[in-house]
Formats: sequence, C-alpha cells, structure tokens
Amino acid sequence: MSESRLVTVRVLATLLVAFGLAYVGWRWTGTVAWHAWWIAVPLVVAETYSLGESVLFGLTMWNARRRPSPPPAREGLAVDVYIATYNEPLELVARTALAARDMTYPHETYVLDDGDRPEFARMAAALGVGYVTRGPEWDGRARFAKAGNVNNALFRTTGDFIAILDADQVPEPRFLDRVLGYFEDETIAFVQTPQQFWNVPDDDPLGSRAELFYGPIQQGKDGWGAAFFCGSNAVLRREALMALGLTRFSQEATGRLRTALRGARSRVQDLEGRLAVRAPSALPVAEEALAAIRRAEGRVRHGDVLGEVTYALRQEIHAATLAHPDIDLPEDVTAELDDVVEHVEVVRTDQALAIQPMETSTITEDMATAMHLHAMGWSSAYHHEVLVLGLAPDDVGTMLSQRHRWATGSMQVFFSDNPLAVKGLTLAQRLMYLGTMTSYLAGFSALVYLAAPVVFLLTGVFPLVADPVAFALRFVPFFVCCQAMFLVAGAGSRGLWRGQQMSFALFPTWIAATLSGAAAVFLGRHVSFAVTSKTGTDGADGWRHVRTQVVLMVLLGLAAVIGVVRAAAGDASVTATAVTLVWIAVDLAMLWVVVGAARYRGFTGPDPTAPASSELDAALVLATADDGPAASRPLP
Amino acid sequence: MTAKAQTQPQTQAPTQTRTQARNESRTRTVWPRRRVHALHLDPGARTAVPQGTRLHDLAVDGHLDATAVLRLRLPVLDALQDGPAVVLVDVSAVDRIAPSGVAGMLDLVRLARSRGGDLRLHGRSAAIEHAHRTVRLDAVVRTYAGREEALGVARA
Repeated sequence: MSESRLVTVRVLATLLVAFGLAYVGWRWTGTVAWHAWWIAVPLVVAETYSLGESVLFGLTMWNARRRPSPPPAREGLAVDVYIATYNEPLELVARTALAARDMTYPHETYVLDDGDRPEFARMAAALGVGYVTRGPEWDGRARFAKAGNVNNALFRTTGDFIAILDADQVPEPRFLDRVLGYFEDETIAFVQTPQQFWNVPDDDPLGSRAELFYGPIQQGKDGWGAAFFCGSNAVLRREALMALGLTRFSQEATGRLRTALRGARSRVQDLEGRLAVRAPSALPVAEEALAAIRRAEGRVRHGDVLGEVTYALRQEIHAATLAHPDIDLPEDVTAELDDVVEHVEVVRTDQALAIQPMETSTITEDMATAMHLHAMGWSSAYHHEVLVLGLAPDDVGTMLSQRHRWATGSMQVFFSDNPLAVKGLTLAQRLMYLGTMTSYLAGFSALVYLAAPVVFLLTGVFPLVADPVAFALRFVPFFVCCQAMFLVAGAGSRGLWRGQQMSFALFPTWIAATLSGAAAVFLGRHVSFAVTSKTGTDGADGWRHVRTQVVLMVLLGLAAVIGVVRAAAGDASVTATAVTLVWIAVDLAMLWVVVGAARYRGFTGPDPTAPASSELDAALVLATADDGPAASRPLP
Repeated sequence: MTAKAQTQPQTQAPTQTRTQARNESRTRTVWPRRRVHALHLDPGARTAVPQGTRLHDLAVDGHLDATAVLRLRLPVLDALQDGPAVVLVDVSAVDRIAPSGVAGMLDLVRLARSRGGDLRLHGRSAAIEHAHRTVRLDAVVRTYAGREEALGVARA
C-alpha cells in the first residue's frame, strides 16, 4: 500500500472509530425499543458487533505494508516440496508434481498421497519425484486429515525447509527462488504467498477471488507480525514446526497423563465390576492392575520422569497378567488391559506419531499452527506476488463446503484456543487472529439484519425509537466511513462487492459452522475434514444449496409489499416504512449473489496451467498401466 | 500383552538427488525462547529392564537432526523385528541437536514401546541435556548417565 493511501486509510479508520462509537453509544443509550426487546436488543448487539468488526478491519489496514524484495535465495538450502493429495484426479496431481519438480531452486519433491493409490506411486516414480503415504502404524488410529498427512511426511523426509502445495496448486519455476531469501532472518518460521485461481470467470459468481485477503489484509496482518499461514503456497522452516510440536507435547504431557491415568483407573474399576459377576477368578489380575495404576498416579504426583512411570506401569500390568498362570484370563480382559496401557503411554503409542508438529486439534490446522508459532516468538512473512495458480471450487455446493470447513475450523480454534488467552502473542497478534475468527459470527448479525425489517413491515414493531433525522445524522457518517475505508484499503483488489455479498449471504453457512465448532469443542462432536472437490461434480443442482436464501428473498419481497399496503392504509409510519424499504433493498442486493452462484455451471475457459508435455502424458500412461515403473529406492 | 504390528513406512525417495550438499554449519537451530527450570528427578523411579529382555546397542554422534534420526530408524526397526527389545542408544558423542532430532528420537521411543520394548538414551551430552531442559522434555524422558544405569542394573 502506498504511503498516501495508507495515510488516507488511517484517517478514515480514525473517523470510523469516532463516528462508530458515537452512533453505537447513541443507539444503546437512547434508541433501543425496549418494549420490543426481542428484536431491538439483537439489532443493537448486531450493530455493535459490526462496529467491532469494522474497527478490527481498520486496525488491520493501519499497518498494511508491502515488504521490500527479500534477499536472493542462498545456495545449498535443503528444501522439500510436499504436494498433499487425498482424492484428487491423477492428472491434476501429476501436473502439479511436474511443475513442482521443475522449480529451479534445487529441491526434492514428494507426493503425499493420503489416498494410498498405487497409480500415484507409479506416476511419482515416472516423474522422478518422491512418494509418501501413511504406514500401517496409522491403521485404526486418528489420521488428522491433511495435518496428519504432512506430519507423517515430516518424519519421513529431511529438508530444512518445507514448501506445501495443495494438489491443484501449480507453482511457477521461480517460486522457491523468490521466497527462500526471507529465511535469512532466522526468526522467520514461514512465508506465505497468495492463492490465485485460474478457473474464475470475470463476474466471479462464487466469490472465489480473495484479492482483498491476499493483498491488503495479509499485508496488514504482516505489518502487525501476524501474517497467516493458509495451508498451501507457503514455505515453512522444519525446525520451527518441530520445536512447536515438542513444546506442545511437553507442556501437555503431565496433564494428559494424569487424565489418562484417571480414565484408566475408571476403566479397570469397571472391569473389576464385570469380572466380579462373570469371572471372579480373574479378579486378582484386575486388582493388581488397579494397584499399578494407583502407584503410577502417585509417581506422577511425586514428579517422577513420566516415561519411566508409564514404562513401569506397562511392566507391572504385564506382570499381573502373567502372575496367575492358574487363572484362565478371558481374552477381552487382556485386550482391555492392553488398550489401557496403550492409551496411558506418555509417548503416545495410541497415535501414529509421538509429536504432531502441525496442529491436529482443528480442521484449520494452518491457522492454529501459525498462531502457536507466533506465540512461541517465531515471526512470519507475507510475500505479495502470485507464484502459484490453483483451482477454485467450480460449483456452489463445493464452494459452500469449503467455506463451511474454513469457518468451522476457525470457530473451533476460537472456542478452544482463543487468541486472547494464548500466552506469548502480542496484543496486535491476538487482535489479528480474533478479527479473522469473529468474522464468521457475521452469520448471526446478518440474520438480525434480515429479520428486523421483515418484523416491522409485517407487524409494525420497529426496533428503534429515534427521530429519523437524528438517526441519519449519526448513522450515515459511520456507514460512509466504513464503505470508504473498505474501498480505499481494497483499491486495486477485484471482487470487493462480491466479497461483501458473500460475507452476508452465506449467513446459514457461518451459523452452521459456528454451531459445529462449538459442538466440537464443548460436546466433543467429531468434525470431518471435507476435502474440496476439484472436479465440480455438484454443478447441476445448485439451487438446493441456497434454498434458505431464496426463501428469505421471497419473504423480503412479500414483506415489502405488505409494508407498502400498511403504510398506504395509514397503519404504519410512512417514514419508517421508507427507511425499511431501503433496508430491504440492501438486503436483497446482498442476497442476490446466491442466484448467480446457484446458476453457475462451471468454468469453460482455457487452462493456463496445462502446457503440452510429452513427459506428463508418458507418466500418466505408465501410472495407469499395471506394469508401470516400480517405486524408486526407499529412503535410508 | 500384544503390540500393534508396524512395518516400515511406505516412502520412496525422489530419483533426483540433492545437488547441493547440506552445509550444516549454516543451519543454526533456533530453540524456543523460554526460561529453563530445574526439575526434580527421583532416581528411585528408574525402571529396570526385566531379565531375559533382548538388548540392542546403537550409537549416534555429531549433529542429531532429521537426517540422523531417519538413519537411525532402520536399525531400530531391525532390532524390534523379532519382538520386544530394549534399544540402548549411546548419545555421548552428540554435540549438536535440532528439534527434529529430539522429536525423531521421541518417536523412536514411541515405536519401540508400541512393540512392547523400549528405547533408552545414555551418555552425557550437553547438547541433549540442554535441548531436553529447554523444551522441558526432561520431565518425560531421561537420558541416563551410562549404559548400566539405562538398564537399571544398579537396582535390578
């Protein structure tokens, strides 16, 4: 952002805060229609929330900066490039793998195939890139989706720097050369570059362009030392990730072991109860196991080394099962005790890895990982140059699924690992993370902004008690400042209006995601990681995904007609009705975006990432042939 | 007691080799910035290896990083191939260690324990002691002074 634009943004941000506080203060102190509190209070709360979001946006923009070019990439760095895939088509991944392999800075490329597909192994061998899949140690254990896939690879490879690409993200040859120079600063943990999509038409019906985010917003976050890691098109420092994983592991080890021992004691007590009824002769085994668990709990309280405590517990329970050769121990008892031991073990024999460097507690592992790296004191950089081209969702269903995943993951982190409570973050970093997470609460405010005018036009209950002129004098400056700052800060970014529409119109998705995130944290509900489809399979049935919005649009239209009739009949204030009709028009304009999204049938233009390549064709033929090339040599 | 069977992970290296040799002197490890606390350790909690347990001795030296740990993985897997075993790793010649090295060793402990055995570090290494103290891993795994102590012979 240029210096003059930054000054303008700061002036507008200051005015926005001043006008915003004046407006919202006035609203709370003298204009709430308390007799209709059920709609008046939600409305004023929604407005207060909107002010908060605007202030956080202004704060982000306050420090938006374009970094100077990094120093050239130093020779001799050990770099691994990971291409994470689960169910994407072979050709798509092969194209990315070929482009990744051909990047000019010396590196090694690995296809991380979570789908464990033999043809992908053959494709990788044919292209001369590495292939990593999960080993049997993952069978029957938590897999942690993409985070688990990357973590698995981190323990199978050795590069000091890890470039992560989603399966559809095709890098330019200079990608590594352009970003590795940032790591000369040894506090830099990761460098994020923009995500740009080639399959988006000019009118961008699905709101896929993220030029505001991968531009002023990321630059603003970067200015406050909180550039976000977004899961792809980024390079990370291995040792930062490992240090993070280790720190989290050791911080949580004692608490986790105490909890596990309590759980183990409870399980063995239950087992005792069952054995007392059906196999009393086996009771001594359970009693000795219980005594061993209690001894382990005592050792933990005493401060003994945890690894020795769990080793001793395992030996003692093992000894208990062997100490009574005369007892015919039921198989399920042995299995139960085995399971108890496995889950208590401090080095996580219940998981496939002892350490999870990439966060696994949320489905937006990128945001949580970045936040904890920042909390540890690592820094980050946002490099504002498009170096990778990828695929955006090609139908409304896929787009909504992707947004739902982002929002759910963010809200998971919001509820379980709130940035205001994470030790080590600066105040500005906390606010940067908070701003992104709370943006998904916009679903609730949008619902209020839709409900309030309908309530008035249908029932005559107006949620605001104020003189129209006084209202306009306070509201209009605030609103104008918001929009002006948005336009100035986002100047040059395409899709500003579309972004605003999507933020409002996808309110059912945001509400559902918030509830899912809360249910995951507070009720322990499982949240699945929905991989974004790259094949656009849902394009023919877009309307069913936006039924709620369509019904609301009809309702808004009906309410407008009824409101006009009521005003004409003298049953409602003409001024209030006119204001509300403008409000309805704004709501409809915002919601209208779903019509284009539902009707969209996918991109039909040329693919700039598909150069004619005989090598690619040959690799695909070999990959799909039964006698294709075997896996190349294993790592030592 | 049963242990979940594990085999070598399915990993294949790229056929292209690293053309630039790793310049280790340039790769400085940045540890998390946190205060180091002394930890109360009770030698009485040490655990003796049961008699009859198969033992395997390994050693690492120099820089313990991702490469060194990956190199160690195969012999550890070999040691555990025929059933539970205790792998004793002499770390006295380790003079530098990266977080990847610490994490990798911890994962090897997990691997050994998931197969009913154990992996124990022994030998004085200032680098390892510092690293374990820094991330407070000394509360989780012990680095024994010597092989005998690692076996718990003094108490057995």
